[in-house]
Order: sequence, then structure tokens, then C-alpha cells
Amino acid sequence: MIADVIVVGSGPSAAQAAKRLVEFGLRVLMLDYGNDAPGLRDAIPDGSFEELRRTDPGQRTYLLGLGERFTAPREFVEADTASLLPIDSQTFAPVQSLALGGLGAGWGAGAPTFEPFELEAVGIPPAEMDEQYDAIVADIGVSAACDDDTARFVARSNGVQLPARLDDNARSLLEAYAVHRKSLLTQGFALGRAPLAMLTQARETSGREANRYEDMDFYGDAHRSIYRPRYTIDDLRKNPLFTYLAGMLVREFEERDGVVTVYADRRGERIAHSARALVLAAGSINTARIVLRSQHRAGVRVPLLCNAMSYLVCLNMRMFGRPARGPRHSLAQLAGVYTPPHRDGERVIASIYSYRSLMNFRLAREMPLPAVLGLQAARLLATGLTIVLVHHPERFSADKTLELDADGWTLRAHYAHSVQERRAIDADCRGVKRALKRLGCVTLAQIATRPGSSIHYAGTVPTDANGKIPEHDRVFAADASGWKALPAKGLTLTLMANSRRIAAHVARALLDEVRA
Amino acid sequence: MKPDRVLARLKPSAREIERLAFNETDQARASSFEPITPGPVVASLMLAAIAVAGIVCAPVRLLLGRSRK
Repeated sequence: MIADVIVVGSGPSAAQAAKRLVEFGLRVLMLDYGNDAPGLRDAIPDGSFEELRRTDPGQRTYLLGLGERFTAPREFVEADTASLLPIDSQTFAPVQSLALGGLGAGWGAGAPTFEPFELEAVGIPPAEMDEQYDAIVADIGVSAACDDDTARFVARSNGVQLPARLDDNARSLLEAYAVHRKSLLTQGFALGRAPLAMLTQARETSGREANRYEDMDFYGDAHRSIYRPRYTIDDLRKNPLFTYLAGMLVREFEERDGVVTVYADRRGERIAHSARALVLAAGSINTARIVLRSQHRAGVRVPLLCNAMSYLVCLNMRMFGRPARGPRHSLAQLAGVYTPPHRDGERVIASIYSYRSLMNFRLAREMPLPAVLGLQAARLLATGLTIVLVHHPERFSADKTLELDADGWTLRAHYAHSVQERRAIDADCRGVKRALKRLGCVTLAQIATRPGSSIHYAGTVPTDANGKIPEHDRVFAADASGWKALPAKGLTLTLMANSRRIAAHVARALLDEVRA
Repeated sequence: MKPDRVLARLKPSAREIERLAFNETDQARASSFEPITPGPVVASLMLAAIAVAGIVCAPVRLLLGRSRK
């Protein structure tokens, strides 16, 4: 098949761009490396975390793993990237992926929307996004509360499913918030249920079930209640207009006489594919690598955006020493939206998790105690332990750049916060901790994560508003590489909505060309 | 020695954590890893006792050079 459009990557933006292009009747070829681990994922027996802990003799295969960032069944998300996608940096440690579904295969399913001022800052026309958000919400299934204090900042009201049920820990925080609501809102802090790309009602037509609150969400995808890009790709593969080629490490492209040719390595062999247009969606960092290599721009610095992330380990005193009953899931339970006075209206987002299914040994490992004592401390803290991930907004700065090495493939990242940025991040954390304290949540430890840990990257390949890379006529970036800012909110839902918008522009341009 | 380095040296060794992880994923021992919920007052006392035991053990552990490997 000769494709109309080649899509590089298979993550959230690639899957949605491909889907939209196929909806326009275009022939799409997706080139992807496509790592996967179906054996490990599918070997997890059906059951809740607690039940499997008590009964499954094979639990070590999926509960134990070497990775710091992903559980064992999700380690494939990062597999092969250290050798195939090299980054040379002392200051920036990003997570990259060559997985089927890209980083979306390990996505925590946070699905906030951007507000119009945030879309404008990013460089996306807000007027075009309502329709796209609605389409994505309808497609992937999002559960959210439309009636709490954070809804106007992060949630859609159209087409969302009922919000996920809260566990005892989150419910107690929300009850405390109701008591202190007025004063917290005055301080710029609102608390509500987190919008999630998780089904709370089954969708029989797509074979996806409602989440069963088994607390296994960090391990398997049983019942497919949490959206993964590979579901979209699996559906697309049934369509004759769509072709998926795995094992392809895309290296570069060239554009000549109205045709784009993409060169990829497959087991050491160089393979070329041509199409009328190219949509790059390999993730902001790898898209930059492909573009810089294709443009022979080694040594040229391009911008790099990444949300700073702080990690607060807290104890909810209302739950300390008390039993936690009822349903649980592993994703963010609550979202705190903090609008600090020093941020000029920008939001700081606090995603609030209950720590239950990530094992006691991981906690004991961090305590300055013998393991046997650390374990007992972890068991005592377990029901009230609350993990808060604070994401900070990000803007361009000359101290955050990416450049292609002279070898034509390795990327060098330079990343440093200014003194002013560090102060703003500290002030954000102080504000969030103050609000948590009002809710009866004591901060036990604050961990500043290494730049790159947030897995939110953007800004590496400047594009126009429709994703077109200015130096080319037929090459587009549908991931976040063209974004001009990075709000603190999880970006995946907006990535998908925006890639759908960009794909529609690409499709219309190609169809107009045929008509002309 | 700086306090944060002392605290780091007091963390359990890799071998201790490996053994703990192995035991934690043994279904026969699941109950010894479940949350302890005796109420906030007793839980506070138990936590205080753990802290005291940790402090008592600390000099010996430092002397033995037990560090996270």
C-alpha cells in the first residue's frame, strides 16, 4: 500500500492522529518500534490486590521488579530506550518509550482539560478545542465530577461518566475540605475528584468494562477499564486503510517533490517508506531527535520544556491507625488546584494518591531503620499514607535546551531552573502543604524529583498553530513538541485532542490538493 | 558526618530489602504485611516505640557500617 500519511509512533497523540486521518478516508501507515509485554500483563490472575496477595503463589512475577518508575508488567514502557534513544545529560533524566502505546502504556490516566488561557499560552486555538475534547472524551471514556470545586479548572461537563468512587482516605480529605472550604478557596486552593481516563460504566461495544476497584491498576489492564492507546490501534488494524509496522526505529526523513520519505532501521536494515505527508508523534524528545537529524542541525540548541514535579509523602491523621475499608483503585483519587499569588494566575496541580498497592518493602527501603522495624512502621502508616505529586507550570528559558550531538543521534540536554523558578517551586510546595495541613494531612517528607521525572515534555520543535514544521511543507508534529508552554496539568488528554485537530488540518489539506 | 548522610547509612541494606520483598510476595505470609490499625493513640505509641528502637540500634548499625548497597 502507498500511504497518504505516515504516522511515526503509537502513543496517545499518534493513535488519535491516525484514527482521525482514517476517518477522513486517508491511507495511513504507522511506523513504530512497538515493544510490548502481553505475556506478563495477561498472566496476572483476575482478583483484587489483597486477594492475590493472600492466594497467588506466582505473584512475584508481577509484583516485584527492578524499575524505579514502572512496576514489573510495565517495565516494557522504557525498554531499549537507554541504548536506542541515547540522552547525554547530567541534569535531565527523561523517560522515553519505544512501547506499543508509547508512554501512554504506563499513563496514570489523569485526564484534566486545559483552560482557554492555558491553551493560548501553549499555542493551541481554544475555539477549536471544545469539539476535539468532546470527541476524545467520547472515544476513550473519561470519568469526572462536574459539580465540585475543581470541575471548572480541570473537567469537561459533556459526555463524561460518573466519577470514580473514592476510598476512605480520599473521602476523609474531601470531608475535611468541606469544613475548611471557604478559607482554602480564599487562599487559592480548591479540592475535588480527579478526572480519569477510566471507565466507571461498561462499554460493551468496545469490550471495555467498568473499573472493578481491585487496586491492580499499576500492574495489569484487566477489563480494559483504563484507556490505553493500543486499544485504538487494535481497532484501526481492522480497517483496510490502516497499516501498522512494528520493529521500525525511525531515524530521519526527507521531503522532495511533494513526497516525504521516511527512513527507519529494522534489525540493522535501512528501510524507506514514502507518503504525501508525515505526522511525527514520537514524543517531544524523540520527535526533536528525528527533526534535527533530518535537518542536519547537530549542535543547534532547541527549547526544552518539562514540568517540575515535587513529591510529598503525607500522613492523613484522620486515617492514621484506623482501618480502611471499601473499594480502592490505584490512580489519583483527588486533584488539588492551587492558584498561588506569585504565579500570575497559573495553576499548580496536586494529584493525591492513597498508597496501598505499591508494597511495604518500598517504604521500608526509605526509612532510616532496620528493615524489620521499617516494615512495622509502614504497616502502621499504611491506611493514612497519602502521596501528593505536585506539578509546577513551565515556561521557556535559555537554560533549558536540547541539542543533537555530532554523532547525529545522541541528544544532549541542558536543564537548570533559575533562582527565581526555584523560589516559585518552593513557594508552590509551601502553599500546597499549608492547604494539606488544614485538611489534617501532615507532610512527612518532601522529595524534589530530578528534572525529567514528571514525564511531561514539550516545546522542542517549533511549529505553526496547525502543527506544521516551518522548514517543511508536508511534515507535521502532532505531539507536544510544538507547544510553547507547559501548564502543570497532565497533558495527555489535551495531546490527544490536539493531535486530532492537527490530523484534521492535514487531512483537509491533502484532500484539497486532490480536488485541485 | 552530615545528618542526611547518617540517615542514608541507617537505611536497610539491599540484602535486607531483597529478603523483605521476597517475604512480602509469599502468600503464606500475607497477613504479616497487612496494615496495623489499633486506633490513633495506640498507633502513635507503637510508632514512638519503633522510633526509640531505631535510635537505640542506630549506633550499632553505624559501627557495623551497615549501609544501603
